Amino acid sequence: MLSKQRVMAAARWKEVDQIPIFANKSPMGPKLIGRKLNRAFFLDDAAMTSSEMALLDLVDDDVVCLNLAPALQDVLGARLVWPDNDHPQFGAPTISSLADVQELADGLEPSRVIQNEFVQALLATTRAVKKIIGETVALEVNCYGVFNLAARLMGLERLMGATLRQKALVHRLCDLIAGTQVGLAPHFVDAGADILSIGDGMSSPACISPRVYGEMALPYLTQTIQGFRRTGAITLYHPCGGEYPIIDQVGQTGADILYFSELVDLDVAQKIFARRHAVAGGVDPVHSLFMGDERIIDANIKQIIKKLKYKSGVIIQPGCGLSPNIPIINLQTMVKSTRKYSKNMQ
Amino acid sequence: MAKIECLHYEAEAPVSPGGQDYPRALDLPPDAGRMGLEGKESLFQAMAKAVVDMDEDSSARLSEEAVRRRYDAFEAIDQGLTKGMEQAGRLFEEEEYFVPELLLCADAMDAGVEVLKPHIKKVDEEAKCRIVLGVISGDTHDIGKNLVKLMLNSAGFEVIDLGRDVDPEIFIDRAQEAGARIIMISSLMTTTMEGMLDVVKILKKRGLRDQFKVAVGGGPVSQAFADRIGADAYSPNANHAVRLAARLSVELAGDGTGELAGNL
Repeated sequence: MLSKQRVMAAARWKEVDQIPIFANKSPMGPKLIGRKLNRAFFLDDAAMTSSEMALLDLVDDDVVCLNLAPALQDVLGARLVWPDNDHPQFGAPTISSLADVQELADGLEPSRVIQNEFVQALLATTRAVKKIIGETVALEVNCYGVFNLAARLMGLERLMGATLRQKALVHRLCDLIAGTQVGLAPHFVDAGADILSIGDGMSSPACISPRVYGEMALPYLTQTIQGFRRTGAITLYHPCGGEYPIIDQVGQTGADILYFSELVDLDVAQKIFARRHAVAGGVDPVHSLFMGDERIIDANIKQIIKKLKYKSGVIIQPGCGLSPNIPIINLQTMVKSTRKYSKNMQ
Repeated sequence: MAKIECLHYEAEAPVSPGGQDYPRALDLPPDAGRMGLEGKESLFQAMAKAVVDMDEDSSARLSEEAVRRRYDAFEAIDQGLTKGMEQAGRLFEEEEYFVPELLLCADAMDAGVEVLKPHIKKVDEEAKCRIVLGVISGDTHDIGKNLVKLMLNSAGFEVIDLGRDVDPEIFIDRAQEAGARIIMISSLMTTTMEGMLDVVKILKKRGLRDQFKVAVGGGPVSQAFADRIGADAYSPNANHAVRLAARLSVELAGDGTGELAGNL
């Protein structure tokens, strides 16, 4: 099977030749082409394309994943801090009241959103990558979920307090963010994206209670995923962080693939969601991929695959996004071990 | 929604993350309302409950009542508000409370402390255990650090908060300046975790390693990582950080320096 066929089959619980593997490799790419993961990189479609292709050659996993999060944060007017060589971080709040949200909404005309320089760069990258990989490898466009983005606009502490004291503000902001995400989705599918995904650690039980999640985050995560689904793309949702307390709720998003952190046992998740949702995750990004070596990673993958009941409906993936200092050889080991142990699995 | 009677006025009890009324942190005497919380202990219990219930108004009013009755302000903080924050910390550890609830409990505690602070008699500043706390350079994620700070403060530790994106040298310089012997470092990213190692290395290079306890924490940090970089301790969450600080300060006291373990 080609990589894309394998991924699509796994997402739909159809027969696969081996378990697909998503390496979360993108942050390591800039270094390969002599660049840094910084603001200029995210505005340079040629660099992003070269970076992804260089990584795909080296790591040889089953997906190319492009990062829409910086673009979406810029669209929403987030004030970011750009480290020398890492993902952008929260700088200062821009939203503190309903009036601020209204002002933001007034400026989010679809024509302006699509013309955003980061959005344009990523659309160009999506087209260029698709032209190269065609239908051989799955192409994913990933962005933050509503709470992650709201935290970038309000500041995390203020957002956390607002979930209990300024509910109307959080609802309005999340609705606006979800609408913006959904509005952008068809453009990326037209450009070649096969999978649209969101990751939202700030609405996970690492931050908020299952009750607040159900009341304030889930409706908008669902709005985003359902909007993505209407484009015909495969959808993936990553509720990043200690997900067991909300495991009964995450399926309500309707995402085709539920991607869990390593804190959720992949085999347990697979049984819970069997034939309803595919599941992804399993690999410990810190102890295995950052601190570990070939032996540790191989043992980690072997153990994960050994415990799985089904060969389909599952994707092996690091439990969280990775930083650029993960050794590429560790990602290569993860891919090789996944193929080695899943090929002959019944 | 349940009503809790405190000092002849009523406060609405918020609903817990689980959907039920919040657990009673410290049971008031059944007739406390009718009694008007006459006893000191009853008042302190009500103050603790106001913190657990995230009720800033009650916390402030009960603290005003403690002042009116001429109770020792430090004792009111220590036996009332702090007990409430300790209970909130336990509920956080038990996943009954989450980050928003803990932050609002801290707001309620602050509301009471603001009332009581001007009435605190002279505190022996030298006797307080000082901790230098910050997020390592390159990292601006500070909510975990802020939770640790509020829990340490409420436990009576003096926290020198260096903020986020802090250079390793600064941790040591500021600890030396402040006479703090515990350095707590947070990081959320694998790219910045190695900066924690730099703190340990610089301490060794300056010949100061034995004089400080270094504790680390944050999303990707673990005991294994703490061991690898030669840190003295690792804390998985904010509430644990308080017990950890207490242990480290006891260990420091054991070396003859007379450090105290906050209020623990």
